Amino acid sequence: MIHYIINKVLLILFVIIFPIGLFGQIKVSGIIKNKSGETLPGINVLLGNVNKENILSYSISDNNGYYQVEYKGAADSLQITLTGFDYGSVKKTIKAVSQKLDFELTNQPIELQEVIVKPEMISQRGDTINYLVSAFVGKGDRVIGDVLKKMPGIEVRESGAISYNGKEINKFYVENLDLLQGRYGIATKNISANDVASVQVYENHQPVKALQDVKLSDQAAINIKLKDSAKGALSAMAQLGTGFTPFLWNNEFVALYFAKKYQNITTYKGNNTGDDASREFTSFYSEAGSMQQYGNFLSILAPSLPAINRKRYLFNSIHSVSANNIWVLKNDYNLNANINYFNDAQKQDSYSQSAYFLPGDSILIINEQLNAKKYIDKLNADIKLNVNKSNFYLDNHIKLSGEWNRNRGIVLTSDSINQQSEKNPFNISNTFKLVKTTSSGKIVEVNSFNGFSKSPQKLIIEPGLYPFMFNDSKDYDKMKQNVTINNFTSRNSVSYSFVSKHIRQVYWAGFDIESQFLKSDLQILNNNNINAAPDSLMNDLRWTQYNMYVNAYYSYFLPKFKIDIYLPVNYYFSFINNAWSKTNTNKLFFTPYLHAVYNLNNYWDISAHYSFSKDYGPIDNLYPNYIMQTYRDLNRNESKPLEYESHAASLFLSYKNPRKSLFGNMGGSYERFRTNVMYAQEYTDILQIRKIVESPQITESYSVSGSISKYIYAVRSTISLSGRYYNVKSSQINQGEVVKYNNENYGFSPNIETQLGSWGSISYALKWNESNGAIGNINLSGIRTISNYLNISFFINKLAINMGYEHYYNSNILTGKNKSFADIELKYKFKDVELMCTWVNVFNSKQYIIASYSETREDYYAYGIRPAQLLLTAKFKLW
Amino acid sequence: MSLLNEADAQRSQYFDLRRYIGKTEILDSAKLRVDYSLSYIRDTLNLSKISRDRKVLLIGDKINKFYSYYVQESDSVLTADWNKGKNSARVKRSPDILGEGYELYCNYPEGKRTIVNSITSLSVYKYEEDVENPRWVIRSETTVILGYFCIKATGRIGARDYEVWFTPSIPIQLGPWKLAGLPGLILKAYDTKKHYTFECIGIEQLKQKQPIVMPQWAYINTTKEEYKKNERQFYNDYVTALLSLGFNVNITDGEGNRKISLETPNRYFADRNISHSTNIDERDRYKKLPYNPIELE
Repeated sequence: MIHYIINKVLLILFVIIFPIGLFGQIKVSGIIKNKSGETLPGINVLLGNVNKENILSYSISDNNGYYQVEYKGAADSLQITLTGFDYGSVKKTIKAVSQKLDFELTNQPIELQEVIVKPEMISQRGDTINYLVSAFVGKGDRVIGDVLKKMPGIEVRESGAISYNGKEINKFYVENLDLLQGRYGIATKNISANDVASVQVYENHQPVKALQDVKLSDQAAINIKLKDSAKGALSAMAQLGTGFTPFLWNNEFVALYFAKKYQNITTYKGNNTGDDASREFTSFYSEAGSMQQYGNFLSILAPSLPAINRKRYLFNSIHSVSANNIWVLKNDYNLNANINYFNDAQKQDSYSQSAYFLPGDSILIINEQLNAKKYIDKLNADIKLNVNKSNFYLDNHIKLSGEWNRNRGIVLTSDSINQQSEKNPFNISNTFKLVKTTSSGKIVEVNSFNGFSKSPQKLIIEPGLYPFMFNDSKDYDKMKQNVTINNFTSRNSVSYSFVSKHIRQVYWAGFDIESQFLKSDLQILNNNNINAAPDSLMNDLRWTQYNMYVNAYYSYFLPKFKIDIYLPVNYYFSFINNAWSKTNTNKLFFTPYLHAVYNLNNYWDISAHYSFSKDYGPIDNLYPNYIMQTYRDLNRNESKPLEYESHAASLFLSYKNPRKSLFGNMGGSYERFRTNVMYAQEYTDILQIRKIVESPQITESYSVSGSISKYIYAVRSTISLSGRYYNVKSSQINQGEVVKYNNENYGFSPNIETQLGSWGSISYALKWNESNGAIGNINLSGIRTISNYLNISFFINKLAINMGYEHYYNSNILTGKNKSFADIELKYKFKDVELMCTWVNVFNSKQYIIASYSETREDYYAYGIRPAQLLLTAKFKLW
Repeated sequence: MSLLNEADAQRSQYFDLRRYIGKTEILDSAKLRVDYSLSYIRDTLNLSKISRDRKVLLIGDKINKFYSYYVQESDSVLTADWNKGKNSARVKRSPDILGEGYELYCNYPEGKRTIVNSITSLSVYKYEEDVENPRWVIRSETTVILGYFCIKATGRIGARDYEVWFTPSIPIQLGPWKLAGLPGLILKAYDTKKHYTFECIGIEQLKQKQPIVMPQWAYINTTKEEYKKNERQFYNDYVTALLSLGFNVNITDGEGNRKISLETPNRYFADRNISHSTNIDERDRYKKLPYNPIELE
């Protein structure tokens, strides 16, 4: 009906516009040819009013080049326009009378104003989500890490760890090869953004192909897909930089090579400008084959680090090198060889005041001025052989790491105390994994981890302290604490799995051994004489733990729903031998794990988990005689091994809509943690003695967090918002009394990255955090911290101007609550050379003050930070 | 998610074509490529649910081809998988993206149009038809689309009335689907019920000429009437239609457990050891699929 009316209305309109019958009808017709006399079909012939763009009537020339247009109207003259794809356009004014009119057109190719199809910035193909790098890259972005953080759904944490929709990734590939073995900062900080075609997220990634149908993963992996131009060619970049004050240097060399059969990244980075080049060497893979590390058992007292940009306070002098290789061998075998090493000398200066809340409303205040120097050498080497086929997986990974640390410090309280430590931890391990699918579809899996670590360390304090305890109240020269901890760990398991229509079943048996050995003595040195340490200052402890287990794993799966249940039954026994006593423990326990996922639809996923776990140790809570961990932490334990039990549950909701560039997630978790003993702190003057008392301790914590991120095309911006809430309740013993404490922490952080066309960009981030706490009846004053980060860049031809501003606020500081930093950077690029002039800390701030509190104390720290400095650098592309 | 939506998502797999591209025939080479986005409504009872496709119009000197970018892409992805020995079921995309399987070859054979279409992945139909452009009426409204001056025209084809916007600046008498015959390229078109809306999203003059190819599938040669009859049958009673097309159908209960197995009388695929079976929830067995193709008659 409506149709009918519309048609009628249109007809009436038509009648009004073209009053048929009042005027005679004219016909214009003719033949259209080209210069060589061939007739032209498909030419548009439009008849309109003179000097107007309207169309009164039209015709399209037929196969013989013939056209005919008709007109009924009052106009005296008309405009006839001919257009053809390869013939441009011809206009002619004609009298409004019927006539024959032939045309001869000249060949004239048309130049269209092209419209580029807006590429799908984010698209989904199966379980792969593709982020088109060219859609996110800005003019100021140099490496792929700069672009990754603009991609909604992908989050790059401050540490460099990458997560996808709230969960950390489990693999990072370059062209589907795991070149860096988890140290992917080396890739994100060195691969040029212009060499990358797309960033791919593999959702629910099970890296072992043979287990793809058996063990489902809810973690994602990232693959860097390079442009063809970046493949198979060596590229190398060098940087030289110098500045003042003091004399500054910042040099780099990076070589990259990516081919089908071989990949390499080689880097050298050295500077004393506060860039911690060793951070690139952090591995973000959570390795199954890891073991307890005791490298920092003893330490000099150094200030804890402030929560500001590390480059502001890091006085360093670092040289770091890394060489990363992967070869693709015959039969799909991959061989990795990675080695990285750095040498750093760091300086820290601080003043601190700590207030300890003691029962009965008394407060103990300690003032300290600390100067520390750290000399660090660290070497990591990995060799890994891997084959990953759908029916066969083999992996053997040898890891080696060694550290040489020399730290010195001076503490100025009422006296001056010299501290000196030496730590040389060393670690070697081998991880083996084999998965084989039999012809009948059953899967056999063998896992074996064997590792050995040795952590010798010593701490020397000068002059000797606490003479009333150690030297009959007579002053003496030095005290020297020696500790060596050795650890041998072996974990082995065999499993066998079946997959039927909706159920997977895996059964396995395993056997773990952890054998640890701790030896320590505290020596008193006076007039070059070493007083033999009394027994009460020596430890000689061996702790061997065995865990045998059988485990059944069931997974029930439907297309949209799956549930996994692990049912391990453990038989645990341990022997503790020290010079004076022997203790045996044995326990049979059950540590179930349950995990369920429901895919609501393509957008929503819900997952939930529950687990119970039980653990013992570590050995640094077992020694019966005093060990001086810092000059004012003298600890001993009166207990059997610490037994941890934890119930944990979580619920996680995630949303993704690649087409709308919208990603979000929300989760809540609860944990109830129980230990069989509590720490007791006792103070004698400045000396803290921490004992362990046999009385159970329960810690309950829960947290809620969420984040959402979206790319808005209209304003070329990635906007993200995250928020969290955390609450922990526990208790501890303070001067013989049980004290309850409660801490809550919440905050939010919005973030925006905007591209202002080709001439500029802006990024802004805010971090807002509130923390409140109470110890017993004392409410601690709440602390609010706010950090603002603003970065504005302008691009004028080859010149880029970059301005950074940081602002920090801390409510708990009496004076100087606000602190601001600003940096200015000029970049000029010509051909393959980039010149850069950087002015760091424009306001020339020299100190940063922070307040914080932990369970039972409140601390104020003042840090020495890097003053204003000017740096000139030149970056060259060598190949 | 309601049961009906669930069933609808389940059904959409029959449209999700799995056609392996083998040999192709080069018909012409394209000098111009135009991309259109299409938003359309599959179920007239659920107007808020919009499906999307992306269409490509390749324009050669003689022959033009109009096809779905997504179907073409999934055909090539699945072919690549097939060649690697992987039998992938489908290319998963955002649920609103649903490519229509048809391809139009205009002026092939000369003066006619060839249409290639499939109802399920098992059979690809091919038929020819005469080219009859809508009888366009040029209107006085004008607008600018993608920087091009455009004039409105109205016309009727496939039992739908269309409003289209064409630009005389691109003197090509083509547009999306069968909307052609105006003195300029159509950049935007929609039927008056707004069930089908095409919008130009890209125009590219191909400096390197791109071949216009026709895959050499095992075509079932048919006529338009015959094809339309089959198509309507499928939408009316898809279980019977699936059986006759060579699918084995398992009727399942709400939990996905098989209750009845229906074997296809069509032995063609079974004899070649190609097993094609599909699960259908018993509650959906006698439901009709929403039928709202662009061409209603």
